[in-house]
Amino acid sequence: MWIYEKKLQYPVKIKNPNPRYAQIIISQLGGPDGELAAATRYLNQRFSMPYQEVIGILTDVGTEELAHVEMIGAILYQLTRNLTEEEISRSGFDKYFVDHTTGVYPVAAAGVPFDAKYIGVKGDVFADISEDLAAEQKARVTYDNLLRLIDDPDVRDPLRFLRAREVVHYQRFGDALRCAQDHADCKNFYAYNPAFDTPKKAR
Amino acid sequence: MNSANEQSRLLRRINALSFALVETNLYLDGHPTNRAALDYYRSTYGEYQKLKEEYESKYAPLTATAGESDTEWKWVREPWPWEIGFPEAGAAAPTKPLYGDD
Repeated sequence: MWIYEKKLQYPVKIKNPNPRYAQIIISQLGGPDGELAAATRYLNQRFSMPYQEVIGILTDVGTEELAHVEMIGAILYQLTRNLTEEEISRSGFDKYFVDHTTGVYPVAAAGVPFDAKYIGVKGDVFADISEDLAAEQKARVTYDNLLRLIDDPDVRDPLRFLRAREVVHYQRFGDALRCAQDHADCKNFYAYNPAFDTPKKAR
Repeated sequence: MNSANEQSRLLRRINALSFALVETNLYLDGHPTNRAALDYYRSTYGEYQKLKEEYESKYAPLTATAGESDTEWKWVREPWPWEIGFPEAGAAAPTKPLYGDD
């Protein structure tokens, strides 16, 4: 089960609201490579994972992703406070505003609502870990693209922190892959699926 | 009582206390000055902490922060809660009523 800590993992203090930025950053909440997809992907992959170390990585990275969902929410909240109706119309935020006002609803930057299609749970050790490695890289690229488009240092600072976490998580999933390979048949990694074909055993 | 039963009994007690804390937490969120609930929370939390420490020192970490030891990271050395082999939290009845006698 989970316990909540009443703090952000990294502080978010944005002086100037900017609904244009909010419209693109929201992809890291409800988009294909966003934090919500990440948390859902890792926490669900745990159940078919046969290796203690990999379950630990999925649990702890998945839990950190929930903290990142909260950080993105905090960024969106601060970027959309005290808006005038004119600012809403002029920035293009009106299309989101009409359905959600300034509530935080998980959509991609282009307005597509969050979808479980963004996550993969294949129930195969190597397929799932490879998915996770790719997911971290795709999330890193999304932060890179956001950082290309955003000038405000108050907004860039937490985004850069989150980008760095994608890089670290990629490395940790590299550990997970190595761990799974250490358990595999050395002549043929893909001779069988350890998540399905062999009985689970705690090491 | 063997050690596995002892572990299950302790875990069941911790589970009951942590559930009581969740319930009281939710109630207090809407009634933040309720004296009886505050007292109940404090005494339950004290007992929960004591038993959690006992469980973690005798058996296994319940949170990652209790996973360190001199020789290894115990967090990934014990079964996960959905796995066969995780101690049965429902194996034994609690030794005393959870909500008092009334």
